[in-house]
Order: sequence, then structure tokens, then C-alpha cells
Amino acid sequence: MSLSEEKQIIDRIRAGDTQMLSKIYEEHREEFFFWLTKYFNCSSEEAKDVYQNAIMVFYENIIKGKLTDMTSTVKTYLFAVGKYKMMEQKKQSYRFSGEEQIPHLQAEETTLEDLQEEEKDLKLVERCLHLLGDPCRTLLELYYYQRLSMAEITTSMDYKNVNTTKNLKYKCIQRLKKMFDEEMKKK
Amino acid sequence: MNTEEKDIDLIEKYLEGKLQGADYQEFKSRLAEDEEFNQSLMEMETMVSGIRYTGRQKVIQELKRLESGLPQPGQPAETKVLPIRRFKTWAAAAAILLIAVTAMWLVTRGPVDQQELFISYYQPYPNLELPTTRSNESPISLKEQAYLAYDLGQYEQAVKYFDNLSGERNDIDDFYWALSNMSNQQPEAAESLLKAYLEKGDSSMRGQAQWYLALAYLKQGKTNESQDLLTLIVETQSHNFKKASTLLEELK
Repeated sequence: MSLSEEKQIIDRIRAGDTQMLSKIYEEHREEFFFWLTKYFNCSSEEAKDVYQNAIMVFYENIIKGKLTDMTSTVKTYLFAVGKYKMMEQKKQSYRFSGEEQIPHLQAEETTLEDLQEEEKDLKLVERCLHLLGDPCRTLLELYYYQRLSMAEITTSMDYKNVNTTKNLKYKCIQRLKKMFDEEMKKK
Repeated sequence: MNTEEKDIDLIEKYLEGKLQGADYQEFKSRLAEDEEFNQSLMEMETMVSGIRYTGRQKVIQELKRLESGLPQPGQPAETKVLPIRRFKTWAAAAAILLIAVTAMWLVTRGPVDQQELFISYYQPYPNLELPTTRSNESPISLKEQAYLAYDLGQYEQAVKYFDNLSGERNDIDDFYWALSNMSNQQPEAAESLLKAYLEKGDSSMRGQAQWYLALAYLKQGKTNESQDLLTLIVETQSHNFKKASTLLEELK
């Protein structure tokens, strides 16, 4: 695969082409599992988690604009992320060595503690988005997560013009904040 | 654009690191002096983080869904022909293989379509029941472990935890127990659990339970049961009735 093809992949994913991401997922999956399970002696379940994490890192770096072009192939990138993740996990499990431990679970607990304070709020916003429904849910995700421009969102959601989309975005944020406050009061 | 909208734009620029020079200084001064503005910043941070979290979870779920529909890595496809050395053995093996492949094709032709339909319609239901956080001091309960495993897509683990909950399980837990089984490729277990849930009369997830039961039937090749239930969902305009309608069309 030439590197201009890599550029095409990135551009398409950045524009919201989820089929492309699925294609990438399927294309490198078997080879990744084979390599990871062989060299890191991990289970296939763990390999799936690590692979999905690598795909997410790849995907989110594209939508954040951190990855606009590549000097390596997608495969090399995914393998590098996978290797890094496995090394990190091994470091975490060694931290508790000497005591009775379930390394995988311990690693998760450490991560959970880090997110502890924020996770409550994150899940509540998720719930509020679910309750708000469309068009707000889709619009807000396209803007804040996918980081599409107002023009791209206007086209994607078939709105009249950029101003219409902008106004709706403000309304949606206000509604989300209001719902969040209401849900917080219930707890 | 009113003041509030201007502030949102400003806060967004700040959060993206796009405020520079004098604008940045002005923003910081305002934060220090204006408590309300500070509050707005914190609210926007929470909203944006939450929206990104939600978006991320959706993509992760999509990847898990994609993964669950793919063959286990390392397993040869059923139709792969293994190399056999001796001619006679080869001929006999080829004949047997041909028969086996034909039989398999005939047997799996129907259900394969249903499997594809299942994959295209099934999405795990998000955990809206139990926030999976806890304080530092209190030990994580079994129920929290179950929901955490569910959130992390570790459905096999989630099933085990839910299995062990027994007396502590409420109706909604039963719903998520059923869904854990479904995502763990156990539609038979999901079917009986969903049926039990529906019989109890708890209404909070009734619509969702019906939808997933219809999908559980589909995954097992129980087309008639699936169609009957989907028809009911459409007629009563229940949860996902639009999807139920298009699925019914594809099942014809």
C-alpha cells in the first residue's frame, strides 16, 4: 500500500466514513491477533481488547486532527500502539508483584480510580444525551466528538444553512445543561 | 448572537487551546474575577467531556459488534480444503468434503441470512442503570462489578457476575443480565431471561426487552417467533418500531 493511500484513508475517516474504519478493522485483525498472542502470550480476549484500543487511538487521533498524514502504514501504526499498550499493562501488573493478585483486574482498578471523579458526570451526560435524543444528540456528537465543521454538519444533517446549524447547536447545549442539572437534583 | 452564545464560543476556543495573546490573558482575568463565568467554563468542560465520552462509547460498541460477527481468529473457514498426499485418499476426502460442504450450504443458507440480519440490527443497550463509580473506601459490590464488566464489553464476565447475584437482582438487573447473555453469543439464555422479565410485568424496559427478544429469536433462526413479535412491536408502536418495521420487510 502506497502512502498516498494512507492519506486517502485518513481523509475519509476524518470526513466521517465509518465503513472505512470497519474495513481497516477487518483488514489487519487476524495478523494483529496472531502477532500479539504469540509475542505477548496473552489470551484472545485480551488481544481483542488491545486491538480495539489501538483502532480507537488511530481513529481518535484522526478526528482530533493529530494524524493528518502518515510516514508508516496503518498496520505499522496499529502494531506500535498495540505494543505500547501491552508494555504499559505489563508495567502495571509488575507493580503489584509479590502479593496475591489478579493483574488484569488490578490494572483496571487503577484506571477506574483515575477516572472515578469524572466518570459519574460522564455517564450522567451520556444518559442526558440519550434522553434528549435527536437531533441534539447527533448534532452535538458530530460537532464535539467527530469534530466536523459547521459546514460539514449542515450538509450531513441537511439543514438550511450554517447559521441554522449554529443556532441549533446553542439550543442543544442549553438543553443538555438543563437536563444535566435536573438529573443531578434527582440523585 | 447573544452574550451567552458568545461566551460558549469563547469557552470552546479556550478549551481547544485556540485562545492566544491578549485574548487569552483577558479570558484568564475574567475567570479570576467572574464567578459565574468560571461556573460556565466548568459546565462546558463537563458537557464536552460527556459528549466525547458518549461518542467514544458508541464507536467502541460498534467495533465490538463488528468483532462479534467475525470468525474466531486462527480458525480455518469451513470450506478450506486440507492438503492430502495420496491420490486415493485425496479423491475420497474430496468427495466427502463436497458432500459436507453441500450439506452445510443447505443447512446454513437460511440461518446465515438471519445471522447477517441479526448483526446489522443488533446494538448492545447502554448501561443507564448503575453508574459504575464508587468511593475509594467502599469495596466494589458484585452488582457494580457486573455493570462495570458490561460497560467494558466484557460480556462473558458480566454474565458470570449477574449469575451470582441471585437474590440481589431486581427486574432491571434481569434485563441487563439477559443482554449480557445476548452480547456473549448466548441467545438461548437471553431468550428465556427476556421472557421471564416480560412475564414479571415490570414496564420500565418492556419495549426494549421485546425488541431484544425478537432479535434473540432471529439469532436462533426462530423466524416465525421473531416475525410475530416484530409485528406486535410495530402495531403497538413500541420501542424501535421503525427498525422493527424495516427488519420485518427484510425477513419476508
